Amino acid sequence: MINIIANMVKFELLLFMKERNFWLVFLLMNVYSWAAFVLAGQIMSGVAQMFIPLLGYLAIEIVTREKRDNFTEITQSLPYNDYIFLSRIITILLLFLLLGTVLTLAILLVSLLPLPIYVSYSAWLAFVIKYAMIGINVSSLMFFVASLSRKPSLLYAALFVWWISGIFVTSNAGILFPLNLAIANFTYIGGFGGNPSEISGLFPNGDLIAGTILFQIAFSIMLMVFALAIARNRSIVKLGIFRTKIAQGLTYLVMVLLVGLVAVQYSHVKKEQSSAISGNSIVMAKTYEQSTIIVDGYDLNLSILPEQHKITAKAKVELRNSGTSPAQIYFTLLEYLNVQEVKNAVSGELLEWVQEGPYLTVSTLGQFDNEGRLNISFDYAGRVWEWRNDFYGHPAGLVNFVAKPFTFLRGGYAWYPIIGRHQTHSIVDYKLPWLKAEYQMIQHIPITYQPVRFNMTVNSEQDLTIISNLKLVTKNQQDNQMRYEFKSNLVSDVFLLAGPYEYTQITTNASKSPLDCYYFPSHGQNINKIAHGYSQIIKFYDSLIPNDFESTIIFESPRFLTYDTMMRTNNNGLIGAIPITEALSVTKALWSPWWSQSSGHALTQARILNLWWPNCFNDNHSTVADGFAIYMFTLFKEHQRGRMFYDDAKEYWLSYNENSPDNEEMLGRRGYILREVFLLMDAIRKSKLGDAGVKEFLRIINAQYKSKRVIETADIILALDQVGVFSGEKNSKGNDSYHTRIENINRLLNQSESSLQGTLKFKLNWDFSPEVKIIRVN
Amino acid sequence: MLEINKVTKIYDNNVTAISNIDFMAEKGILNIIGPTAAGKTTLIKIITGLETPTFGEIIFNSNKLAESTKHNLKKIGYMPQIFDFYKNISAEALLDYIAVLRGFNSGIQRKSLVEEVVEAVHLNDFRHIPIGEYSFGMKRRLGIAQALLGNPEYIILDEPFHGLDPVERTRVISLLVRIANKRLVIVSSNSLEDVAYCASMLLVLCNGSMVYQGTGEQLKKRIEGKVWILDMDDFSLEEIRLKYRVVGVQQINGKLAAKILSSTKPFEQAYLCDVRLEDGYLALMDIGVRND
Repeated sequence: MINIIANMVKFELLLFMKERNFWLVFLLMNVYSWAAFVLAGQIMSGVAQMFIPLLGYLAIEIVTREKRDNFTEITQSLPYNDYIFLSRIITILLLFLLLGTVLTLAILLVSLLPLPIYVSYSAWLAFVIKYAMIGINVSSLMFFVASLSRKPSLLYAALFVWWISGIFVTSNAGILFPLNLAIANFTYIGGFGGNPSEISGLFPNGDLIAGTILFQIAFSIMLMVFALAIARNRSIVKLGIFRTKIAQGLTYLVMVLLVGLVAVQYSHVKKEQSSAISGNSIVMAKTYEQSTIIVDGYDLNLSILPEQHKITAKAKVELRNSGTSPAQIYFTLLEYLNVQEVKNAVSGELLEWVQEGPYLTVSTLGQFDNEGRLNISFDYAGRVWEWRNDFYGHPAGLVNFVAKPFTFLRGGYAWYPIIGRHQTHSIVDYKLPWLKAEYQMIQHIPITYQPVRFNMTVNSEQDLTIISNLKLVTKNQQDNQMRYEFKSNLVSDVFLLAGPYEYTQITTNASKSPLDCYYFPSHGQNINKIAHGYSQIIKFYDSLIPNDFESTIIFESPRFLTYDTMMRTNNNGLIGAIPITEALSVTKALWSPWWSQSSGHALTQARILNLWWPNCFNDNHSTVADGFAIYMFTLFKEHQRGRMFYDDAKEYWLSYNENSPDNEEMLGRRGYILREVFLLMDAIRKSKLGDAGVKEFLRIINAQYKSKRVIETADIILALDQVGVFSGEKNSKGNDSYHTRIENINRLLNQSESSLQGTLKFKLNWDFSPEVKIIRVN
Repeated sequence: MLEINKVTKIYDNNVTAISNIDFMAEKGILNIIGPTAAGKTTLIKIITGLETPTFGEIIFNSNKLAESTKHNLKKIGYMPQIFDFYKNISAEALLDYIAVLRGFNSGIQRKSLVEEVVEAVHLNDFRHIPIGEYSFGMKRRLGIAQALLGNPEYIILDEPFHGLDPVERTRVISLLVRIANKRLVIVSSNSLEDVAYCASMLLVLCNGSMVYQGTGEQLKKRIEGKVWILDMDDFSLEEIRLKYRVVGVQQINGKLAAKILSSTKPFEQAYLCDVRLEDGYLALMDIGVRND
């Protein structure tokens, strides 16, 4: 039997090789792949989905050509005709495998050539998986339909309907349809929306991918088995029985499909419920600041367990009281970090405490008088997970988004006790602009505090490199434990990222101090160029606002970290460090036109500007800071390209209209705040204070922002006053201009949050840059 | 031995294609003959397993076709009435594929079988060229070749002479006569010119019914002394038909004459003639039509 089928397969393959149309399809697929590589400059896993009609054509070809060529009657009279259908299934799978091998080898070939194309092996893997799934699914569907009818018109209609409905379902998953409809949609593998990390290999939404793949393979096999059974029996069973069998088969298929859908739906609903319950408790908590209690320093002893995604910690917080003796002290600590013990760090006396959600209340037992000092020690442990939204903005619950062996603790997240009750998350109702449906989105609210002394010791069983905005003092090994000691005299918003990094220090002519560069093994090819390029930009911004960083950190960001924000411009809790994407680290096209697009520039600029304006360009409250950051960016571009750039930028902001099609999906109403900030700075520049006044103003307002992470109109008025704007221009036209600007900013800031956020929240991406617009003007 | 036991085929639309066909055949040529839509092709498709009979059964050497289809199909070589081949492939590759479908695993054996049949149908010189370049007649010969592949016990050819020129037709007939020494060759046709004269058995179908089963000689004997020639100078055809069964009109010595089937002398001027196979067939057709 195997010999017979093998010979049949050989013949069917020979038939394809002899057909001109096959070679046309082969050529089209290759041309499309290569065109996608060259035009996009990278491997795109989504290209595989575009092959559905072509693979469908080949599958239809193999099942219909016999009938078309009037050869059926001869083959059907031959004794082993019942193997023909099976041999054709094998042939088409083998043919798809051959085609796919050629395509994937072509992709690998690109990696060996000096073409400016980014070859991501994980994107390549995603391509291979998608291609394989599409191949299997196309074959099973086409053979199933062919077992019922060999009419080409019916087969092409089935293929067309399936493909088009697949595109429709895919593009509306999470909007019109539930996200997990992916399981029933053979043209799409849910969760493959983003590329995984080269290092971690993690795909976002990994469980759904695995589930979908398994389900689709099982369903495809079922379809093929039914197709085979129908093909084998249709000639010898009586028509009535045959029809009954088809009806039974279809019923089984529908049942399997429903079971799969319900299973995925059930797990998804469970997740949403759990996140909704905790989410509500977060929102209901009241904030409370104990302004009289001052934190002098932290001593944090942290053990990370990357494999279990857990940490255990002992945090000693040095407190000073400048007010009356409080009965209780309030702290904020992420609720999935469970406190085990709280005690007086000096006397060792246990203190009473209550942990409710992200809030921790410690009784002082009257030990904390005015001007007194209290050192409190906290023992706590928990998971390094986060509340997340899924790709479509739906609450995805508590998600471990960090892949082994990484550990990531964000700056601005209360992963160590922070004095006072702060709101850690908000749930915002978000209305999709093109639908009436409302969604709830969980947003983390960064928490900040005045810079303090911070000592941190990190223990790990693995030899990982730890990146932090604290200064590494020592690293040594004790038994099987690695021990890292960090120390900084003045720092806030500490972050920690542990991963398999290489480290190098690069000195450039432009940088005041060497740059600390971290990259993944074998990804170091561009790091020198990047460091030199970045230091030029840093040098310019440093001339506007001299920085006070202890070091400048550039590190390669794993894709899971930047995937959902890769296209966005904020640093997501990476305070005082510049993340670079894996793509940028390994691309051959570093300074090629593709990476030199305005979008690539905007990302780089935004991430560097985050050093001066931490958490700027995010979707929370730092809109005014965004305006100053963009103004600095405009000055940098003017420095590079000349005055024309500045004038064009000004022209753009003067004529800014939120309703123009270009702006609607990007800045929206928020653009008006950026405009007012720009015009305010322009007014200072045009005044007799000139560029020096601009710099002084920026330094004052930046200092305000760094301590509070928010800029209010009062801060602007104060800064204007400090630079001497009002004293020099009383009752002048220029003075009116400042007042107008301030009034406008105040009015815009006082408008409701949702009206300002609008579509920006959803679409804040790499287009968020005036550069995009200005280049268009040019 | 092929046994056809009371086979009837009624289609979904209640049309009876063949009714109560019942015969046995062994070696030699069995010529199924009949006019268009007589049920020849339906009968052949039932014998080859392509269609299932509504009633009755097909038995090959005591094995019922419905019970052991694969086993029985191995014994059959079949050429349908209407067929074609993949155009881009050579005859050699196609015949090799058919040999595979016949269950021949050995590549050497298949090669030898393919050579044998292309030789037999005189396609040896064309076996490497794509079939798309073949003439209609060459394709018919290739159709016969594939039916002969592997020397099956039963060869069933539906209208094999359609489209063949006289030379090819003669060659094929001699080939069939040769191979029929050892096996049963079933040939359907709607013309007596083809193989009826060398057939060991004739099966005449009309309107789905079997109207004759026997040899050609027996068919002729049935009407010996009953076929008369009448000069049509004094009678019109309509006039004769009113009284007698006219089985043909022919020209004798430059004059039109009617062939009349009658057990007694129909007209004074009529005279007996030598009986031909066609006369017997036409007589049967007349019966068939009248019965209908």
